[in-house]
Amino acid sequence: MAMFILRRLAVAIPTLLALIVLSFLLMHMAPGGPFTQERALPPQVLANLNAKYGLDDPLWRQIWNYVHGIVVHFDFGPSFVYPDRTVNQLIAAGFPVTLTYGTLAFAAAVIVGVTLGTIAAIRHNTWLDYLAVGVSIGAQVLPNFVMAPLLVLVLTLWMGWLPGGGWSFSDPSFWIMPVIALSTSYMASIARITRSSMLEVLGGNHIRTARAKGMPERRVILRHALRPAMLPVISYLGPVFVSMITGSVVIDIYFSTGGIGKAFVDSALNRDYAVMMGVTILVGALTILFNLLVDILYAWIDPRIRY
Amino acid sequence: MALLDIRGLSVRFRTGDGTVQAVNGLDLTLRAGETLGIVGESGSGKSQLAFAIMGLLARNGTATGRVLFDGQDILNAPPRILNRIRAERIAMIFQDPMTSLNPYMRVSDQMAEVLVMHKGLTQHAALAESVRMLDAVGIPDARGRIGLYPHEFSGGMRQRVMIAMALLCRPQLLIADEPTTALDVTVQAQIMALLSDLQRDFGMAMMLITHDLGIVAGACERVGVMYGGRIRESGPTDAIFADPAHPYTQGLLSAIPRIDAQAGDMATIPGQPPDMTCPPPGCAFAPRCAFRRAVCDSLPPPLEAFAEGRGRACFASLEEVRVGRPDPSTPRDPARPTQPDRHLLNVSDLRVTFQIRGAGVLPWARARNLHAVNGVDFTLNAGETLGVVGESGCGKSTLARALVGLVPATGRAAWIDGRNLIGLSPRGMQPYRSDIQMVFQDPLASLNPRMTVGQIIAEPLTTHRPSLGRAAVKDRVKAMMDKVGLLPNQINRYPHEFSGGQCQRIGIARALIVEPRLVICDEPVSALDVSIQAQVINLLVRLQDDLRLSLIFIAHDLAVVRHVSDRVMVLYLGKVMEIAPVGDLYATPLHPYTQALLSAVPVPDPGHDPALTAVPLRGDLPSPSDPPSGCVFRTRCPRAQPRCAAEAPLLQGLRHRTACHFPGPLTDQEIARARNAGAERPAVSSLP
Amino acid sequence: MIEPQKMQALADRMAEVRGRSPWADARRRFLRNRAAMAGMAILILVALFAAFGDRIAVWSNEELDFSVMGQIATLGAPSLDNGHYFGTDDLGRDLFARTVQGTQVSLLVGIVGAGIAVIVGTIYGAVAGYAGGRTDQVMMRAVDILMSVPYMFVLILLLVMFGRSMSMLFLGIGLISWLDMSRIVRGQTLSLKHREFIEAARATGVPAWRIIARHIVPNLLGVVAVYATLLVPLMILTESFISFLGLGVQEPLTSWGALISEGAGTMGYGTLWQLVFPLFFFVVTLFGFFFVGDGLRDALDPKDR
Repeated sequence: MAMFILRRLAVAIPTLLALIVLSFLLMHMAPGGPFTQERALPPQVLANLNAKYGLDDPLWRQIWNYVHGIVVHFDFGPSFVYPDRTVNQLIAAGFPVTLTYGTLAFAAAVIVGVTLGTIAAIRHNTWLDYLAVGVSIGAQVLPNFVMAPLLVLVLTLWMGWLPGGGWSFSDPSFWIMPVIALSTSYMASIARITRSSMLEVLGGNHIRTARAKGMPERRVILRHALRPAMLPVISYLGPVFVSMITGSVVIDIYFSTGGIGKAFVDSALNRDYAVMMGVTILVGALTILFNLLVDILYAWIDPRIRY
Repeated sequence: MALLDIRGLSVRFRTGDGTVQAVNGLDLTLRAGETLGIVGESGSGKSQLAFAIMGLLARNGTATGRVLFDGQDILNAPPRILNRIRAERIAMIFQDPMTSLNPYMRVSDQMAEVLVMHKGLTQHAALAESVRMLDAVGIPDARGRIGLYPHEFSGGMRQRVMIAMALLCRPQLLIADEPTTALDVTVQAQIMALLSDLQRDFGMAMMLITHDLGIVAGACERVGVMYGGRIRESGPTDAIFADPAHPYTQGLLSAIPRIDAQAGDMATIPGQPPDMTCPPPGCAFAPRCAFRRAVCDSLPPPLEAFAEGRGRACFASLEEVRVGRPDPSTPRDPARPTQPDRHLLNVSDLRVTFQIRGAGVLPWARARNLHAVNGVDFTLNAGETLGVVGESGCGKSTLARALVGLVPATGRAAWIDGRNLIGLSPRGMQPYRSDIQMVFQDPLASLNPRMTVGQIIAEPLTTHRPSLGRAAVKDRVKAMMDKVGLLPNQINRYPHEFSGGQCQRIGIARALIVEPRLVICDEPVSALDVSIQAQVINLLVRLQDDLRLSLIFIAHDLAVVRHVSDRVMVLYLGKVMEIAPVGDLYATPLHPYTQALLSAVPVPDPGHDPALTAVPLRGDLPSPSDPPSGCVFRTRCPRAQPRCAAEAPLLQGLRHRTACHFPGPLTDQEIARARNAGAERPAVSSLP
Repeated sequence: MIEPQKMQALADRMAEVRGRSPWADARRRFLRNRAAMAGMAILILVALFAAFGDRIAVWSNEELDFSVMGQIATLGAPSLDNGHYFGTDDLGRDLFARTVQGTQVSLLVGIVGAGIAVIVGTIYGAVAGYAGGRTDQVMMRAVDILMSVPYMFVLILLLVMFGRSMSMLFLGIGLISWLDMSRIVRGQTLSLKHREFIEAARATGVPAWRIIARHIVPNLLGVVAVYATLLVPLMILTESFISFLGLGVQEPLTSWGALISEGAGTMGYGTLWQLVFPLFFFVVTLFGFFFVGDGLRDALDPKDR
């Protein structure tokens, strides 16, 4: 297993470095510098700014400094728009929020999705199955940016039960809508995947053996079927993770929750490349890390996988 | 009282294409301690019979009738009742041990849960008992290996684990559904011997479900022959083999090739098995039956007793059927025009090496080599058939693929014009491709599902004779279809509209359309049922005589190979063990491996006692990626000496060539010694 | 002497039987699938709406209706009398015309994006799968790496840095969407390559281009068709997501995502129709594509369910 993790790291680290360098080059290629504005700055000011941010160094030097800063000091440099704040500060402000509702949404999607899918498979071709399939098909066309306004419409404007936006770590009523909006469509996908893979596993030979051994149905499902049925779900978790981080941008904007998505969109609208890159690289790193965890989980569940 | 008494059992499956009537009003009894063989071809309903007894039918299946086990009707019983019977009183083992064991659980957990659940043992006691049972089925170092996962065992060992798991609660009845079909013949012999021993020691009844009459003859006291979801004939094994009383049993018995008798043209059962979504209203066998009469098409014949312990379901009178029994075989013309001095193909030191990726830290870690074919020499004469036999992993299919240039190889394969076919560029190989054609194992998979039969058969022709016009191509395709026994008007049909046997005819037609001189057949009949297999073999043999072909006939079934071959080559782990004219090889095999292989083949004759002649082989095939030093067979050889480990034997001899330091038939003493050495299994009576 | 019976028998024997091709089987199964046919009907209606909606619209999508301005919540509601069938948006523009235009843009993005994905992904995957060995490893490693890039962020990065335009949007969406496709096609090609009928063709010496054209591509088409159908809604989702954030198509162009965003922003003021109409088209179209995709999968691969 240690060998396997090392092997995956041997791929993951160059990937991450490549991502950093590519983002930097992309920014470098972008038409106009970061200080290009509608009113052209005096040349002297521009030169000073470029010197301050190291933009007059040779390209390789700039790349080296940037990569070195991130890898050694975990420092994404200063913001181009708010000179008194660093990218780190901007990200750090939003990160705990995103982490909180993101983790909850992820857990909700997996737990509800797997339960729903399993029940549908066990009660195949009964009204429970049809209900679960119906719900999951319906939820598939309700992505976060559709769910968010609908939730606000119903729960805030009509019922007045929940606050329509904002964030508080101490009041869970602020968490409910972000979590539901973010998790619904993934919950539906996970339910569908679980259902079909569970159906396939339940038709498999080793389940027949377990039944022939006189194992009660509960044990057949929980002990013999659930593990293999989880494999397709687990390989889907990586994409879900990425999509959820992406979706957090909508949540942060729509519910004014103030997560990193807000920092990203603000910087996108302000053309603050440093923050955008910082967020992109951070998200990329998290993705790579998460995929590594998924691979390890997969190998742990399926003993036949030995890398 | 019978232990198991089945009355009027029917099994139906609802599918998208209609209702499949898998089992139709079947009656069957099984006494305590008895071994009953259920024989049938695919689709006869024999496995569904077993699943119905155990309550294991797929979701879309329903069963009606009565299944009395020890006087209690267990058909469609609630799970609470069934779960007290399953494993505790009726246990079952399945065909494919790799997928039938849970690949995600340790063997220890899978076995222990049976005892914990049924006997209320503690985990600790259950594990100890499981180890004892693994010992009893001959798993070496059971205590050390019980914590492994199923994939860490070899195929034969997996089936032993399966058996051990089934016997944990000492059931009164063991249902074995094709228990050796997925295994190699030498391993099959081990498993069958084990099952017989265990059955005797435990005093349990056994229902052995198989398509192989040879296995039934060796293991069962009574036999039920199934066709179209019903028992057609039942009775003591001896009586049925000596005096089959149903036309289907007769046909089946005469259609199987026998390893102990050279035969020529094989007797066949004409036609195809019925489509069980709409079976004939009367006797399902009637369309293929030589004794068919009007009543057969309207009424299903009942199973009626006609002698002590024997029953048959047929309207034709016993005398009529006995007299009209088909002749088993007519010998193949011995004076076939082979040309021993004209070497069509001369192969020397042929090697195929695959690279398998290693498990280093880096993704580009160095690969390991697997020598699938490891220095093979042989010659093929014009007009002859060379049989190639060996167990899985011996490289026989790779050899075929190397000869037609599908996998890269090294060495020499000199064609009759002296040209070495190995290592030719695609352009250089092209002129020879029409001379060498191939027939594949899986009839349906070897045909492109999106092309019509006409397009499939024509493809080699349009590739090699581009000057032919459309009409000429079509004429030739139709003529060839006629020749292989297909209706030429079916030229626009698609492969999925044909049965397995017909698909293989299409494959043969595709190979022959360019008038090749050599056809390489890679397991051409192993995917087919016995009655269809005989049809295809007859076709191949007839076409060979008509067209003066040379054949390389690859198979794992030694009886089939004996039937069609002039000479036979035995492979083991990529090396030639022995090559000789067919008569010599089967009469006086010189290599210990050939002897073991031949003795392991089940003979469909109850008088033949496998225990007397079998040469037991220890263990399973070693991994081809890590073969033993010296002689590759030495790890399983009863005659192995230190020299065998040090020095690889060369292939020696003139007509009868063998690669062994100590060739010659094994003596009875050697066989006895090997058998004692192989008896690693403690007697079951030593178990608590 | 001609024996009519014998002649008839001979004629029967000679008359070529028509085969049932796997495509015909699939078509029959598809036509019998009620959900898929309903999806198909929905998609046709939406397509007709996008194509001919302009002719029904009384207002153009850019005109401001000064008569309703300032009192959108009361005067801008859907009405047949003033020609605003779907009401007006917050600026007084006709929502019907805007929805027609948004539908055009979203469908275009979806179909073109999926088209790029299908072409690039199929070629890339088929080449990797057919070449095999080291080439395959390198090519698929590259896909793995690209897969771990947070593409939506990169896409927004691109849109911000190089300016927002339709072509940039197509390029960005097309750049990322082919990855899944290439994996699927590559897997399928790999398994096809080892099927015996390909080996049979190779052993006979059928040239490589003909093996690809006659044996591989026809057997890939089913899978490609299914995933292409499922890709279109994914592309629409991606574009709507970006437009919802205000980073997608620019005014006066619009799309479902942008319309939903506007409607969601104003629903607190009692102009619910501004959300409901675009949302209806969005949801219904996604349903249509998902149903048709599922139906195609069931029709082409009946055992996979």
